[in-house]
Parts: sequence; C-alpha cells; structure tokens
Amino acid sequence: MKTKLYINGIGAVSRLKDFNELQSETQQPTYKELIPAMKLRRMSRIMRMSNFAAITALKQAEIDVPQAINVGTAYGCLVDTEKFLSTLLDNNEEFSNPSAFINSTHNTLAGSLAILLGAKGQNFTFVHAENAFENALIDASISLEEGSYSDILVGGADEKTEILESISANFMDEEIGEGAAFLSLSKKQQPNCKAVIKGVSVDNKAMDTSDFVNAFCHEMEIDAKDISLVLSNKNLIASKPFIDYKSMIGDYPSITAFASTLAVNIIEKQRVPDFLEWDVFDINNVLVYNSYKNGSQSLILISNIFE
Amino acid sequence: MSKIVITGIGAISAIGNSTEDFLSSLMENRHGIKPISILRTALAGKYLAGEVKLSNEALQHMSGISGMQSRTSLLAAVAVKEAISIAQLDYALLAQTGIISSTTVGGMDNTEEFYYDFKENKNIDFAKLHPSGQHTNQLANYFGIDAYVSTVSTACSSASNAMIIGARLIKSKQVDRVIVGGADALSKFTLNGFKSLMILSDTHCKPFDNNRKGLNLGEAAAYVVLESEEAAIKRGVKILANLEAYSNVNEAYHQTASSPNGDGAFEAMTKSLAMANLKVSEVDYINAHGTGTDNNDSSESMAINRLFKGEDIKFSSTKAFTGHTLAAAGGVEAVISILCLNHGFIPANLNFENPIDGAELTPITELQLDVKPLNYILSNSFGFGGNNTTLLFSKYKI
Repeated sequence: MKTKLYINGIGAVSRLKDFNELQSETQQPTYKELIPAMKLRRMSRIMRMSNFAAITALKQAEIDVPQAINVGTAYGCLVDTEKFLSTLLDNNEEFSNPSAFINSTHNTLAGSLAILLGAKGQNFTFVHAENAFENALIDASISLEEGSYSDILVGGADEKTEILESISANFMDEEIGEGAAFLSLSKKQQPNCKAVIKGVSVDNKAMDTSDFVNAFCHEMEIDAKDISLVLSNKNLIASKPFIDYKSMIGDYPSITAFASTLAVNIIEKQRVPDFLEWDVFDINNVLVYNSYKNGSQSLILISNIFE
Repeated sequence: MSKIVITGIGAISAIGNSTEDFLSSLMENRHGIKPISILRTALAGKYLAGEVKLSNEALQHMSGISGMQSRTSLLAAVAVKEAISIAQLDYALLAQTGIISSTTVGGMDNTEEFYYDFKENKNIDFAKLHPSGQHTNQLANYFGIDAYVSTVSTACSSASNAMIIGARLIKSKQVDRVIVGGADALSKFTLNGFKSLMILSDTHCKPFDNNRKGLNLGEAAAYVVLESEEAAIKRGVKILANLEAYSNVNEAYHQTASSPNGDGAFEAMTKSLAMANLKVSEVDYINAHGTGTDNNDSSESMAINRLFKGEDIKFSSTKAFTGHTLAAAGGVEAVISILCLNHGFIPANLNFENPIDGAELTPITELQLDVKPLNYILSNSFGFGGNNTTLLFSKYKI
C-alpha cells in the first residue's frame, strides 16, 4: 500500500459502547438521532448498525457526501438471506418475499448508504470473508492514489444469526459477535485528522506469524520496539501490551474494521478502555492483527499523525 | 503509465463451454435458453433458463478440480483454466498473478440442500463452501495464484467491478497481471428471488423490445487475464485487447430499480469515455446490459439516447443468448466484447420486434460481420443497490 490513508472520522456500533464500556450485547444506539425515522423503519438491524456507524464517521470528518464507498462484509444481510431461504424451502418454492431477497444481496449495505447519503461515486462491496475489510482498505488506497477520489468511506459490517452462532465453532476460536465500523479516509491530511493508516497486509498462505509480522514491519520501515500497542488475539510481539478485541466483543469476519476504529480512538484519546485498568502513555503506533483457523492472517498499522 | 491489456479469456455458459464455443454460438445465432433440467427446482416446468447442461461431476472432470465444491466454483474453475491456457501462464507466472473473482450466490447450491442439516450441526463442510470468498480461495489454491486474492459482490455489476479493481492493482504496480471475472451457478435462491420481484419472463426474454416481459436467468463463469502492456510484451504473449477505461457510479435512487432517466447508466458511460478521452462518435458498439426487464431497458435506452443524441449507435444485448448470469454477466459480456474486437462482428439482439415507445431505439437484430471500424466497445453492467459500471474495451494496435 503506497498511499497512506488519513483518518478524519470513525464510527462503530459494537459491544464496546463509546470504545470504553463493555456491554453484554451489541449496543444499539439511538438510531433516530442520525437516521430519519421514516427511513429507519425500513432498515434491518445490520443496515441500521452500518448506516449509524458510517454517518458517525462522516460527521466527525465533516463530510456530508463521501466521494466513494467501500464496504467489507462476509455475509451481508444474513438475517434476510436466511429468511428468504427458509421461506422458499418451507413452502416448496411457492411463496417468497421480495424485500428479503433484495436485502440478501451482498451490496445492500453499501447501496443503502448511497441512497441515504446521496453518494453517487464508486460503491464497492468486498466479500472475501476475513479479508473483506482489508481488501476494501487496499482498494481505497489505490483509488486515492489513482486520483479518482480525494476521500472515501470505508467500513466493515456483519451480523450473527442463530445458525451461524451454532456452527461458528467450526470456523473460529472465539465466541461469535457482530457489529459495524466505518472510517472516513482522505489522501491529504485534513485539519481534523485523527490518525493515519500506514499499511495493510494480508497473508493467505499461512506464513509463520513472526515472519509475517517481521516482513510487514520491514516494509513499513518501523522497528517492532516502536509499536506501542497490539490489537490481537495473541501475544504478537514479545513484551508489547495487547488487547484481545476478538474475545472482548465477539468475533466476526469484518471485525478488523472495528479494531481499526478502536485503535484510532486509543491514539486520539491516549487511553484504553477503563475496565482494562492499564496505565498507558505515548501510544503512537498501533498494530491490528487478525488470524483465523484456516491460516489466513492480516496486519494493519495505524499511527499518530505526528509519527 | 503502462496500458492495461487482456492476454487471456475463458468462459462457460449456456452458449458453450469455452470461448471458442461462444464464438460459434454467436456466429450461428444459437442461444442457450431452454427448459430447466439441471437445477432441481419446483419452478422447473414454469421458467426457461440459460443453464450449462453439464452435471457437477462432468464439470469436475472438465476442470480437473477435485474434492468438495460448489457449482459456482466448478464453473469458475473451467473458465479460469481456459483463461490461464490462452494467456500461457505457467506455475511460476501464476505465483506472481492475482485473482479477483465475484459471485452473488457462492455456495448457495449446497446451502439450499443442507440448510436444515446446518441447524443440527451436520454437513458443516458444506456450510464452509457458502461464503462468497470460498470459490476464489479454491481457485487460488488449485491454480497456485498467489500474488493477491480478493472477492467482490455488487450484484449484477460484480465481474465488471472486479475488472476495475484488478486494473487499478496493476496500475499501482502491486501486480503485473490479475485474473478477474465472476461466477454464479443457477440456484433456487435467485430463481425464486427474481420471481418474487416479478421480473422473470415465462418465455424467451426480449431485450429492448416494446413488449418485453422480463429476464431469463442463466449461469456462467467468465474471466479475463488483465496484464500491464509492458509485462505482456516482455513475455511475448498475444495481446487480445485493451481495457481502455472504466467507471463505477451509484445512482443513489432506489435499492433495485433504475432511475427513469437512466442517470446512473449515463454517468457510467460518460465517465468511461472521459477517462479514455474518447468522443461519443468514436464508439463503435455498445454491449448493453439489456436484461429484458421493463425498468432496465427503458432506463438504459434513455441513457443511450441522452449520450448519443440521435447519432447512429450500434448496440445489442446478448442476454437472450446466455440469460442474465448475475455476477458473471460483466465477465461474459467482456469476453463477448473481446471476441467482437478480434473477429470484427456484432452479435444479434435476439427476439427483438418493436422499439420501446418513446425511446425508439432499434438494436442490431441480425448478426453483422466484417464490421469496420470496430475499435471501441462499451460494455454496460448494472446491479441492485444502484450500482452502474461501464467498461471500455478497445482493439489492440501494436
């Protein structure tokens, strides 16, 4: 990734309310504060979460209409997908509900945002399971580099269903979760810039983790000792503190979008969630790591703008 | 900046199991829209579709890929195999090649069969095939495509968007070449979905006809190998065409419907021409999205009329040949456009009788051979969520 992504706004709907208080379920914000009630009525749960997180990020960035939108989601509106599927299976294909079918399309979240915001630029949805958000970031960097856009809204969202909960142990180690998180990104540093994404790396070849981390640090020209904090489900760099965000809020394929917003919040506020009871200082470089049972892993480096 | 060229094409659909078959079907006006006989569905007697008339076992044999697969993966493997062979990619080159695939249903064919088993934690290996990225992982693993792996899903513009993302990856020098396209097997899910929207025709679709009654669904996989011109010249492979320009825009109008004025289609075509610095009069042919639905065809006609302002423009939809192959459609039509550039022909818009009232546009209704000039082709793909993509392919000149 050659072009850095300046982060001017973040928004998340997750179990970690205000990036600080851990709730037992995904915190449902007061949606009507940001989304007109008439429009809210027609939105499913994941659409509400996704739209709310996105608008929060845009408001912080003081952007009304993003020039482009990239969403990462493994399953899209899974509740609607299952609703449509079970209706057709239960009724021998006699009855079917068009609105569930419409929502089942993977790009419903990005499309819904376009309509809500009047965003007429690029509108991409990346669905490569646990790399969906990373792919969305890499394309954002390349499209900003190409000069097609100067700002882009990038996020990740996935929801859980009963079936997914019951079978998730076959794919993931942590309890399954859900959520939505968005970042408003620009090519040039804006006055309200909070942090910067310096690089993203994806490994589909099940490399040795320390080799993967070392190669990434080398590419980023950063010494591992200059990493202040790691967001990871394992102790990635010896003697570096890490926050296991996946165990904290429950795991889902596009969760690195949430981890990225958490990293930005920590850098901006220079504090970690209170319940961790950590004294931290000088958090300038945060490394977001993710891995899955199938061996795929990814890294995102988010830094203070002064770094 | 190095140009983006195409060095390989591969496809399978109702009009053939290879790009060579595609060519002869288009040349002989042989469509593939027939009664449903492969997919097990209660709707089999009621609708026609563009099925690949091969069992999963036959597809497995054809692609050489073994193990548990979704039909989407099997179709994709057949098409990718052909594209790799035409582009002459060996193991060493494949290791430095990326893949960006796309699908709307992924492993839905298995999920339809085993959904209630999943509830009892049985047949979970089939659940693992469900996610859309899974077929791309299987292609990457099977063919040893290592440099970049990604999957896109933007409904019926998916494969076209995969091409945009791939072209940008090459431009930014992350990779020299990338295999891009899409695959979708016919499924009960999509068949019933389009039925519920009441845009499924009970007979042969009639794109751009005044009495059109909706679309026919199809299944397909189609891929192209995009490469930097520099890399292609260096290894001496035959260059088939340029991907000259591209554009993706959103209408921000309605979740499924296109705007009556065709704003999205107009913007997508306009921006592609601007990117290539091309005049409207230089476009030789449009391979239209033309699904045969009331809404798409009138909206797309409006966009064409607005852009060409009464100038004579040759256009046709090839969906009456293949059916609407959803995520794969942009791939199928890219392959068809590249065949047109290389063989100097324009395929017929089958089943057309009368122009749409108010639009008064007549597509190419008879196959045209020896078309000159045929240098620039626009390929339109529009999807749910207001997603509009236009690709501009051009004849490669040394």
